[in-house]
Amino acid sequence: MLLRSVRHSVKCFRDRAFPVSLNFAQNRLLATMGVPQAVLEAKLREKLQCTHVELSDLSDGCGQKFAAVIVSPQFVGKNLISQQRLVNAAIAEELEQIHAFTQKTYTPEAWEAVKK
Amino acid sequence: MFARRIFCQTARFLAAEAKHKHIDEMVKKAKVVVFMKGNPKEPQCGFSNAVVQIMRMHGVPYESYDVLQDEELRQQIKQFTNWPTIPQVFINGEFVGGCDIMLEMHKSGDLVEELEKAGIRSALLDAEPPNK
Repeated sequence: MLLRSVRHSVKCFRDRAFPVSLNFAQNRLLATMGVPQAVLEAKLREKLQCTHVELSDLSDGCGQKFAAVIVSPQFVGKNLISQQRLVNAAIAEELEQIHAFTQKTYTPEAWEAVKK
Repeated sequence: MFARRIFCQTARFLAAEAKHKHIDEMVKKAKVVVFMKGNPKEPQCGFSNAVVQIMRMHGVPYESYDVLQDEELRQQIKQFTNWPTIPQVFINGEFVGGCDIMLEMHKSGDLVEELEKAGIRSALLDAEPPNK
């Protein structure tokens, strides 16, 4: 009971702080449709200034299971966990609809080394 | 009325604190703690299974919690670490990462080091060296 009210107040706060422009029906549709690969890629490129993004949809098209290779200068000087936190934050909204997301993050320098 | 609201807010705050305290105890229950889907004998997800296999290779004793048995725990642990996915691995009470990070650490050798810091000797160190 208490927990539910806590959750509710958190949700109210979230809704107020981050109003979503989509209406309920659209949200429902998104929730069942997963996320289009292009949307995910555009968001990553924009928010992390990625120099390279490689997404593989492993879900047979339902858009709920992705593997990602992400290269961004923003990763420089950060450990793995901080790098992945950046990614998670950038696509937090989409991650709620994705069932499985696996990622490999590289700095541009590290990516050059991997490619060789 | 006003007093009641304050009371309610305080109660809510304390309840939230108590929940996190509960998780705090769970992550410190053993040197290595894994929140996963299923249990080590029967992982219910490929990512959880990968972590189980890594732990097995390194011969690490660990405590595991099955989030599929407890939906509340599943949500709480995600909030606690601010990490959206399961599995989640803790070493010495510190969140180390999910499946991807464990795999990377395993490959790079960082995991052996990290385990050593926690006083656990990786079984891979004692394994026979690969044939050259």
